[in-house]
Order: sequence, then structure tokens, then C-alpha cells
Amino acid sequence: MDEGSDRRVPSLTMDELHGLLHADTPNEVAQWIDGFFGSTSRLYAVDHEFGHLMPLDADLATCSALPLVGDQRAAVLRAERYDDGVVTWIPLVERQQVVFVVAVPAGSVTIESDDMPKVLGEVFGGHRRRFEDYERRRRRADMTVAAELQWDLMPLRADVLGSYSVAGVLEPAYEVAGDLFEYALFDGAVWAYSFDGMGHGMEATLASVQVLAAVRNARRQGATLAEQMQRASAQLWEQYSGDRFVTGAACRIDPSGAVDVVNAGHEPIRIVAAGAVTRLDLDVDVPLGVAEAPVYRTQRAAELAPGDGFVMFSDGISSQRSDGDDFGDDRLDDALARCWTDIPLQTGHSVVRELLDFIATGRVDDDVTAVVVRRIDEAGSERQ
Amino acid sequence: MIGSPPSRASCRFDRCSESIISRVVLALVDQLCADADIDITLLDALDYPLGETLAALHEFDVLGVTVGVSGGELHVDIELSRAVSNPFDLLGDATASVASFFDIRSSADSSIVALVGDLG
Repeated sequence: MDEGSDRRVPSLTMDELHGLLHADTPNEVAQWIDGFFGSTSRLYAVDHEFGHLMPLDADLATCSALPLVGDQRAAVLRAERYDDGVVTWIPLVERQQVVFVVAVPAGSVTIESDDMPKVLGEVFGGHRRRFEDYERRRRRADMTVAAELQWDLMPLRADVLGSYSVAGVLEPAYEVAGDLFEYALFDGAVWAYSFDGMGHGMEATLASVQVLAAVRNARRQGATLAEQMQRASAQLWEQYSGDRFVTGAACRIDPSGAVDVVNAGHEPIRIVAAGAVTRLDLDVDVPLGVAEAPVYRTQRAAELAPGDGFVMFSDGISSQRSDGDDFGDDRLDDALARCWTDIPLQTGHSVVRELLDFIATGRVDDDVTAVVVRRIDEAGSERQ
Repeated sequence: MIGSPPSRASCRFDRCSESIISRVVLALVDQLCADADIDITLLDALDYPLGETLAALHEFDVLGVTVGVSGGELHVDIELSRAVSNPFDLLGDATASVASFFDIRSSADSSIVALVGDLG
């Protein structure tokens, strides 16, 4: 990449946007990027673990991934621009997640509007679903079929829904099976869920995705939290007659900050209020699929003030061991308090990073999920 | 509440952590006892001996648990991955607290540790 290029001030006109929207191949997208950001620009994709940037204009067999670490990784998680003095990294922001980053020589491009990368992010969100070259290049490892199925069904990893920022983190990203997250804005409230299918591999995934579908189906018919969970349980009972179950937590968050929860055998939810972490001592109902007609109770869990939030962690985190020592609940509480930020995706990945650093092998032996929900400050620190 | 609690329920576990097994079993007991109108103080008191039982047996690989309420009794059958000759050997230091509420039974060469508790 040449330094000292003339400074560009790209402005996204409707004609230019039209050209990108209607690109029919990745090559046409690449040409558009060159035309818009300049010939010295390069397009990268963020891998599924947010650990590397994968160049999209190089030969797949010979391209080198760039490690994504430190402040640059934090910037990607926060969907913020990053300048390392040589290169400016411009994230294309799809809601609150970044899958694509454009690299330009530092000082060569002036981005006058924060909206432009967001518009491009939404367009690229469509392209990455159509052009599978992007997905292929984005992967640092082979993905299991179970993980493939799950990632295709789950929502964006980070989003803003109403007055809440939400994010979901799964580890190991390429092998996850059974753990999944869900959130949506419906009927004026935010609905957030964490599910953990018992067992491993495709069997766990198939149970969990049925739960996801059943919950969505019920919610879209206007069902309450408890009704959704009962219907999800009934779906599993119908399929497995009690031989397979899924633990889960379902939350409904009101615009006022009220959080209602149904806990079907899930790990205690952690509330973060004024920076302090509290494990909720809620009544625990039976997991989904265990009984033919289980009882599910809706409990008022918290009243969130702006800046407060909660996290649903799966069992996998506190039970991870290293040298005979469990990561444990207290260590998890401390990690969450330290890592809590205004950006849920960064919070979730930072806690998981602490867990991976704790484990001697650097790999979890059970799926790990973090679903992070934060009520937006009235100052509006999160970006729409 | 939604639904009606069953009188018997089973769970199979696949290399689950002790915390989830304990949480699931306690939830099952709570729900099955709810229909029997069991005193909540008694239910709360069950948590400790049940938790101790599951913690002690976890290292022997709990494959599944069946919980049932009938005739004023709580039945908790814990299936392990191997035959049990003497459940008291497996429970170790937890025996006293478990036996404070439950009769502990195991048939010869069975992999089931059966707990029976009087629900009053």
C-alpha cells in the first residue's frame, strides 16, 4: 500500500450506493471498494473468533491473516476506527457487529460521516450472505456441521434493540454445539435467551435449534415468556419423550428497565448495576423437555437503570478447569466486573478472553456462551 | 404458572458438570413436590442432603436421575456408570447428612443409588 496518497473524502451518493447494492460478484464489490476508498485500500474480513483479519483480495491459498490483538481488537469489537500510524482501519458496521474492515493508508481518507460505514456495513451484511467466498475466507478453521447450523439460525452477534445493546458470544466458534443465543425486539420489549442443549455434537444442536424455533414461533404468536418456554419444552418432549433436554433462560426486558425471567435449569443470571456484579438467586424450574407438562414461573429479576445490564453465562464457564482449579463463580464475577463496558460485544469477548487465558491449553472443553444485555445510557454512548 | 407438574420425571446426563446436575435435580424435586403440597421448609431442607449426594456421586459419572413422588415419599434414583456394591462407600463423608433425610438403598450389582425420603 502506498503512503502519501492524496486525501480522499468519500461521500456515499445514491448512485454509488446503488452500484454497491447491485454488485453481482465479489470482484464487483472489490472494484467498488477501490473506486470509493482508493486503489491503495484493502478489504478484510474478521474471523469468527475475532482473532484475525483475513484479506479478501489475496489468493486464498497464500494469503496471510493478520492477528487481531490489543487495542485494534478492542476497536473491532467496539465497531470503532483504529489508526496504527501507518494504516487506518475503517470498520463497516452491521448494526453493532463488524465483519468487514477497510484498510487505507493513514491520513489518506477522511470519513466525514459516521453513518457512512454503517450504511456500508448493512449492505455488506447482505453481500456476505450471498457471496460465500467471503464466508470461506473468513474462517480460520473448518466449522463443524453443528456449528454451521447454529450460526445460520442465530441473530447478529451484536445489535441495538430499542434502548438496549445486546451481544452474544460463543466459544469455540467453529465447534459450538448445543449452546445458542437469541434476542429480538417485539411488542415494545427486548426478549433475550440463552439455551444449552445437553450432550454434544449434532444431537445437542438439533435439540437447541428446535427450542429456538419453538420459542420464536410462540413469541410471534404473542405468547408470554412462560408460554414460550412451555411450548419449547413440549416440542422437545414430543421429539424425545424426555430423553433429551435443554436448559435455558428467557428474559423480557421492558423499556422502563424491568427484567422478567423464566429460568429452566440455567446458570444464575448476573446483574451488573453501578459496576457491581450480583448473581441472582431466582427459583429454578426444570429444563425444557424433561417432563410432559412442566411448570414455568415468570420472576421479576431486576430493574435496570441506564448503564446497567445483565449477563447470561452458560455452565461451561465457571466449570472450566486449569491445573486442578476451577475458574469458578467468584472469578467469573470478578472478570465480569473488570470487563464490563458500554459495548456488550466487547464485554462478552473480554470475559471469554480471561477464561481462555486461565485455561492452560487456551481451549475450552465445553461450549461457553455469554449473552450480554445493557440498558443504554441516556447520553447515548451506544451507536445506532 | 403455566402447566401442571408431573409425578415422575427423568433426566439423562452426558458429561454434565456437577452444578448443572444438582440444579436440574433440585428443580425436578421442587416441581414434583409442588403438586403434593409439600411444606416449603421441608423442600428447602432437602437441598443440602441432595446436593451432598450429587456432589459425592459426581466423580462416579452420573448418567441419569429419576425423581418421583408417591405415597408421601420422595424417590430419587441416581444411575451411575458402574455397578455399586456399597453406596455408603461412594457417599463417604456425605453419608451422615444424606442419611439424615433419606434411606439409602442399592441392590447388589446395580448401578442405581436409590434415595427414599419421607415427605411427612
